[in-house]
Amino acid sequence: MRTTRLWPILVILFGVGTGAGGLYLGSAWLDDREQNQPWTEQELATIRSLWLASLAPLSPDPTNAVADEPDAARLGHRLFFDQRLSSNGQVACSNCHQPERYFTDGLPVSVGVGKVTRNSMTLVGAAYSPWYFWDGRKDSLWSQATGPLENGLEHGSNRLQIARLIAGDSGYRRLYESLFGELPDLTDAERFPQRAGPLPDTVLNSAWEEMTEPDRVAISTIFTNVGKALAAYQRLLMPGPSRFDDYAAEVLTAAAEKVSVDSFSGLERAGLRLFIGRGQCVNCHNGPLFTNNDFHNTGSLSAPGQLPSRGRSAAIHLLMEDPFNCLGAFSDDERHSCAEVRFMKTGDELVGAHRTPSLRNVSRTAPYMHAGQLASLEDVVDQYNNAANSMIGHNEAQPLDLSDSDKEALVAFLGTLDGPIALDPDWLVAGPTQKLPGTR
Amino acid sequence: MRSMSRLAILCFAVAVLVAPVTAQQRAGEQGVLSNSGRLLLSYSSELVPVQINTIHNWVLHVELSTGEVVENAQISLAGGMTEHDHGLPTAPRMTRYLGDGDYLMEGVRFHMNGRWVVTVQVDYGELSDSVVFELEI
Repeated sequence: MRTTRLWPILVILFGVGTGAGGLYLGSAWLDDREQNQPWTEQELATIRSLWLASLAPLSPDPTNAVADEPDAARLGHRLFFDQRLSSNGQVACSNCHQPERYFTDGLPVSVGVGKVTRNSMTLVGAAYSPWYFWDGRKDSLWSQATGPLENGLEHGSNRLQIARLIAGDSGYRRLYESLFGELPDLTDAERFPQRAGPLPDTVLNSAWEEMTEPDRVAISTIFTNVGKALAAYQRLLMPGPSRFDDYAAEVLTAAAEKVSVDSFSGLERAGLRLFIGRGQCVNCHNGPLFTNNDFHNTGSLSAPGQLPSRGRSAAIHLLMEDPFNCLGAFSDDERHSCAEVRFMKTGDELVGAHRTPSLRNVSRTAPYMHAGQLASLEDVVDQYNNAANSMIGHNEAQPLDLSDSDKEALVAFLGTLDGPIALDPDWLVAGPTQKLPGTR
Repeated sequence: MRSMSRLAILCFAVAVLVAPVTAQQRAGEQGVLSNSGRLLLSYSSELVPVQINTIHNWVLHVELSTGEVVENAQISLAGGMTEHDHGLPTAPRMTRYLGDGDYLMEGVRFHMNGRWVVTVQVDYGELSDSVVFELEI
């Protein structure tokens, strides 16, 4: 009788034991398999291409004359954390781009003065991109920076408010005038209203329309110069080496010296092999920033309650009509070279396409996709594994037929892309900035 | 001495195998006949070797298969990756005739590694013809 009662317990214990043993054997088998599978020359070339040491120096930005001016970065740093750049005095750039969250905010969609419809993208390494926002409706870091300032759901500010802040704060005024020259006299209320801007708000827009064209240009110049200073700061935000970069350095040296490297677990190595191989992740997440900064329809579902985003296809006309694009009068590039804009792709292929985000520090920047639709990296891997038909446009991704252990390996590998921001911590908090990178 | 020769041959073989300029690119640079066989097109890239994620220019050289250069033709360019069912990430176009059968194509960019197909359409008088370049990037 006693034995009969014990049977279920014994069966459960046996099951748990064999299950655990199976998991252990699976993990050990994976380790052995990975240990005995050397990287091919092609795989090593791909690993080298992803290695942070392969990142080319940041090119100058001809559209921003102060892009690499230390004082512009100092001004931009102060502005980035200043909540006075908003209609309610509570929203700074750093609300949605929080340094401790790798310059994202941890929310599905960001909240400024109101709730927006897009997930906050990281700013780290963003200076390398020819396009900004998920749909690429901006073509420079400085032009991007102006967008949220006067967006009614983000900062909710306006051009006159921003200009008056710069003119009225002695610290801002000194730095600004040293960079851009003397500010206009804004005390004449007949010429310069307290609040105005070319915005849907009828009061603000009416006030803006009543100004003379030269005065509107003068205010827009201050406004874009604020964007250029913010861009100068954001050009400093670069990723530091991750555990993947350490592994890449080791394995690339080891390939030459024919010694084994074991700083990655078998699971992580398997994930890397999938990432650059059968998983096809590296097709779009390529280069040292793990992004080609281009636009792809990968079948992302729309956010609950929202129509599917048209993505890039809806942004082309916004970009071309934007007076702050690189072809416009506020660009400092007198040659208006603007190759990316002049030879910009249009057409149906861009319907539902969004910009590839960087995967550096991806495990710290959940939730994912343009509207934060996916809560975890496991969800993201599942989406790409299934590659269902896109709600609009054509899904470029193909089903991957990944096993559960494959998916686990991919997520493990993505965790190795965590790393610091390669910048003195003083630059990552509000307050006066003392040192620039590379100076003592 | 013999082992040195073997080593040199081995080094050369390795160099050829890992050379960044692929065989397809070399063919494109040396010239490819058009579909009708009446034109010979070649290209040279401002970016050598061709790499992903950098916008750059090409110069296309167009001549008849008999050797005469083709002046002031209309040239257009399209391309993509058949494996991934997408086109080029930019819209390159001919912006200038440089003379001597050379045409400046601006705005070329590739955004993925792998096999690309670039089709160049040439309209010249009564002749309408195309050439397909294959690149492994």
